[in-house]
Amino acid sequence: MMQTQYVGSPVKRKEDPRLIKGESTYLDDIKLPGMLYAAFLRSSYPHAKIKRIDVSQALTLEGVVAVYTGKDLKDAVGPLVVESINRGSKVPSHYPLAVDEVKFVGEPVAVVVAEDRYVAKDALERIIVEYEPLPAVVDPEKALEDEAPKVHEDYEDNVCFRWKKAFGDVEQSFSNADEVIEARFRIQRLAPTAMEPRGVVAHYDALNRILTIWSSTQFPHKLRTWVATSLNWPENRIRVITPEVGGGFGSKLNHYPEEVVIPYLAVKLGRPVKWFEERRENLQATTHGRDMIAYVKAAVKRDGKILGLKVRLIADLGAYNYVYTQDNPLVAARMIPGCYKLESIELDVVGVFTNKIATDAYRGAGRPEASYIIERTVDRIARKLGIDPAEIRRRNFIQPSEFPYKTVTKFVYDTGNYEAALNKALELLKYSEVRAEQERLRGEGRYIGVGLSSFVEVCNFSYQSASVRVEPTGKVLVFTSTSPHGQGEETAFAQIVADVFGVDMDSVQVIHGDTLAIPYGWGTAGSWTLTSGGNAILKACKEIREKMLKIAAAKLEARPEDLEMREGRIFVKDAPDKSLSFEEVAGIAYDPESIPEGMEIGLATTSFYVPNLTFPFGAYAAVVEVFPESGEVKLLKLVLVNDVGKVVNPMLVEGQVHGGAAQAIGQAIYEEIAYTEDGVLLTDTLSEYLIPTAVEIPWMITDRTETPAPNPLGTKGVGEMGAIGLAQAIVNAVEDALTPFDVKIEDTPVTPAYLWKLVNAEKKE
Amino acid sequence: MNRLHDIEVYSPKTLEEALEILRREGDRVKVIAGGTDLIIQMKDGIMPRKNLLNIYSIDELRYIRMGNDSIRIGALTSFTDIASSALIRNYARILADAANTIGSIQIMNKASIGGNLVNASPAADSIPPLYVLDAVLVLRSVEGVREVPIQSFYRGYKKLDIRSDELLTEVRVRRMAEDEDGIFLKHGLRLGDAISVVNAALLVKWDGDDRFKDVKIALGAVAPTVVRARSCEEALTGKELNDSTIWDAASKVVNDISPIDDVRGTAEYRREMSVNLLYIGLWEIINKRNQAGW
Amino acid sequence: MARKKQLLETAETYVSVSMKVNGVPCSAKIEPRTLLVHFLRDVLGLTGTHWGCDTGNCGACTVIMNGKSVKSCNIFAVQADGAEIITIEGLAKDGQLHPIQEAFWENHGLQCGFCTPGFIMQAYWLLQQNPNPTEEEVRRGISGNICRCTGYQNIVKAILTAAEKMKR
Repeated sequence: MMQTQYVGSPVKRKEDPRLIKGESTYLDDIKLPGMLYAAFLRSSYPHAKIKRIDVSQALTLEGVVAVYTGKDLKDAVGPLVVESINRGSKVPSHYPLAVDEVKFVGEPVAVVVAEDRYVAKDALERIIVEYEPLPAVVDPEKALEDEAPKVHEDYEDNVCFRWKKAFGDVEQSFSNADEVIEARFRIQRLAPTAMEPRGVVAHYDALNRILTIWSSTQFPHKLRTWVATSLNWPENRIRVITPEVGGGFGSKLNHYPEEVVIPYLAVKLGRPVKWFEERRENLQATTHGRDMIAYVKAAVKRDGKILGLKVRLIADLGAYNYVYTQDNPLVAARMIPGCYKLESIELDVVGVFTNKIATDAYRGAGRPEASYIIERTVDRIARKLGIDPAEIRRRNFIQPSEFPYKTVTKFVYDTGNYEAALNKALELLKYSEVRAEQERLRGEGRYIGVGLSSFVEVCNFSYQSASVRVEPTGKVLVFTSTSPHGQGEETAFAQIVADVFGVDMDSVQVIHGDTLAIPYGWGTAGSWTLTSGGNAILKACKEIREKMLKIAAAKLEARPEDLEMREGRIFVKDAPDKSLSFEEVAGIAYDPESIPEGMEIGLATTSFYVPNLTFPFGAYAAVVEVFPESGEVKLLKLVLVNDVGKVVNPMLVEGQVHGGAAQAIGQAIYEEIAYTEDGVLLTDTLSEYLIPTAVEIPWMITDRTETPAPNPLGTKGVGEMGAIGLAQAIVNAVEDALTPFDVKIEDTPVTPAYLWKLVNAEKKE
Repeated sequence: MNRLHDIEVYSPKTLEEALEILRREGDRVKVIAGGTDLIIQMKDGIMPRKNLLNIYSIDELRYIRMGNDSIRIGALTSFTDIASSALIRNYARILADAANTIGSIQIMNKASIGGNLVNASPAADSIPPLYVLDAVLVLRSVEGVREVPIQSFYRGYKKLDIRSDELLTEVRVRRMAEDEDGIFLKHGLRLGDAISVVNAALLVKWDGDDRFKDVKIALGAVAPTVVRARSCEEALTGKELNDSTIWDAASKVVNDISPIDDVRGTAEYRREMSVNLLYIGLWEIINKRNQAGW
Repeated sequence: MARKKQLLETAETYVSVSMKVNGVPCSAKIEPRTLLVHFLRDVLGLTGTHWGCDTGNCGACTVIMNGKSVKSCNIFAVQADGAEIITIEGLAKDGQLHPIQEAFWENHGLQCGFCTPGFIMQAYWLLQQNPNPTEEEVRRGISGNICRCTGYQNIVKAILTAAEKMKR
């Protein structure tokens, strides 16, 4: 019995059978005849001159095929591509292997190619590098000081870019204010830490002159373009294939050194080459996320109305720009107004070079920072003015009638109803009961706290292509330029297609991750896959559906508008006996003898969909207990209400929220990429970089409101919501719990040692 | 797995064979049991390049048996077995409790008590309970047997009283008596699979219901080896037990420890947490006694 | 290829290991330093067991060895000599999914799938030890496995569902 309506239904995933049996092929599962293994020698210094590299010992090791240094590759493999370049910014040239100088721990300086992976690693030990250590700087505020060590000798300072802009009349807002509240927030550096580290396999087919690259990437087409640029190789002679990808979270949408060096080696050595990252390399040299410091001044009225903000944002970018490094701080800055009506805002953003790997996209990419800053500020304002945190939000929300709403920073929010989401969250939370409980427990010397986060985010940045083919036997092939790696769109897209054609989901096959087969598009990131990819597919399917109805209409002697496509058949609405099966119509479309006069053979089309930015939103609440004697935080209750527009598969949507939320819990309490003052990376294994396990994550209560978006699918995007909305709710809750101690939490993660210190600093006074 | 090219691995099936190899190879060989810590260190290059004596298959070193007033645990016994052993849960409870916290279940399944002792991380969770249970370590070689009390076994940071021809074969702990109570506490940065910031084992002998005839307290992760908190012990033995005396005694622990700053916490934080841990631990022991309906 | 073969033939330090994997006897000559996870993946070609970290933290490499769940990245293949190993590939029988696999599928207990074999094998051991676990016991039981995609909620649901299924 065929389901007649798949969209909106929690259908089991098509991806799962191969994954639960361990049958799929991830990057390290790829084995090609004659394949060699590469290993990279990486700098353990944050900043040093390379005086000399001696690879002679490595070359004598049995099983080693070749060793190359930065000097060897400099002329053949060009600098890495950077796309996000802000006006007036400095973009240092970044070669895949360091040539004269290393500027961050983990920067590759040499590559070994050998017959097996163990020998390759052995050879690394035999390479002698003579370094001359140089002073390093890892604190962005120190990097801005006059006497700071310079990351790049050629530049006069460590500023990559400055962006300062005032919207509205800021001075007026501040002179009209009853109070000005100030705050400093530091959002720490995080590592996306996909469970599968990165890897690349490359194979050069000299007969057909095609260079095939398998990469654990989120952006197959973009990668192809970038590699074509760096290697000076024609783009149409490169094929990028994504195998099964074990998570990305933004860390795999970049242009990495290994992704050009390995293909170069495959060509040069005439044999396939594989490289697979070790976790330590991943934590050192795969792009990091967040790492911003915000100084906020809020101009407010006594009744809680926020008039304007002044925000200085210092973003630690690392030593080199990667593709989108310069984006995060500006997206963050422009989303700071959040759900609120502000008259004015002054934004002063500086991107700073430090001796670390670059920051770049990490689940939320600027929007978690933005909502963290505004939502923590709002709670501070509420506490200062003695107004309930939920109430103060209501007083400042953009109202439903005001959409589409142009914010003070010139984003146009499409649809929203922030109060409805907040009210739902408070209802699920049982807000007044929790407050009463808080009061009661305080009497017993126990400290629980409630924290809220009302947030809006921006997504759907990039266009996608969809090629849809209905084959002669009625089976459907869908090629999408998106590149899902766990999000489940092989299923969600099949749901959409099955509904358009009225067929069984099993007749629909969704294919992604091969640049040879699929027209150009932007892969998967930015919560855009379902909406951009899905709308492209919808567009293409509708075109084919129209053609099929025309064919059927001619055969059934009816008008196309009188026909319906359902349950595998195309039939006249009022006379359902007059029908043809979906397969029959497909067969006719490919048969020159049967196809109606004047119609073109075939059912195949490609569509491109250019999306408008869309603005999902949510309201989250956290209840915590804090133990001042030890600084420990226990999560008691988490409520997450999301509004992501219409929903194709609610089970997948909920899964995305859970995953993002878990990362936000990591951000709030456990995770930090930490360096010593001299630039030594302390957290380079999973014993030190603490990702929450199942005992750290409580049961999460999730729900939705639904405010459709103005696009044909009515969907927005959900992938990053959990990561954007939750961290500040938790930290707000901790600060709320510690109200009797009057502490101001500036930093995350709120480790026991940090909280204990804050509480006791208070006590000592 | 660099740095291990050309190593030999010996995999004896009996203790006798293993001891003979140790006699012959001595320093040239590194003993590997479960390997849960050793393999990580080897990957890191912290271990010098040596051949391996893989004793994992020597089943005769896996046992938990009753002795005279003691429990005898074979050095290869896994922490899963220790945590679930009825004998240990009844007669040396704090060791079973500690075994349950050393790491994830997969690690508990493979890591051995002997390996944990010889690896000698100051933060090892199994060591403080062994201190307060007056553990004796049995070291065998072709020459004979040596029995070393655990407190003499550790001479300094990772400096052990064990010869290169000796193998740790057994850990013997005292059986807890009817009038004894104990507790093991661990403070880590996360609940699941964490390295201790501070851990502590407490063992008391009651004098009636309201005083301690004897107190033994051992702490880990706050000094180069596990240490006994003798100042606390003295402050508690025979004293009246009330909030002020308990807090005072707990506070004295700072005299017995020498913590450092590291990625998991500052020395100051560790000092404070040590005091808290002892305070909490002592009260839990006292409350349990009171609840027992005496 | 020839060079590798040459390596294999001349090396004196190669040892023989044999073990039963998913009921099938296997043996090979390997370098003593070969980790069990690489033996399974590279030598036997059983790539369902994954490798995600260097320090035995992530659990993606979890397999059953002699009836106990262990992390295969943290064990030399020589230590598994003579052992009985079960990997993810050994769970489904004759095309029929194991109830744990079914439960993961029904409950959306996986997203990217990389950690999944490790979780399923750990769940397999967990439910053998404790066929009726509480939510807390499940969470504690899987705290040695890390997932970055699911936030664990649906994994916990899947394991509790599997427990129900397996009782019947």
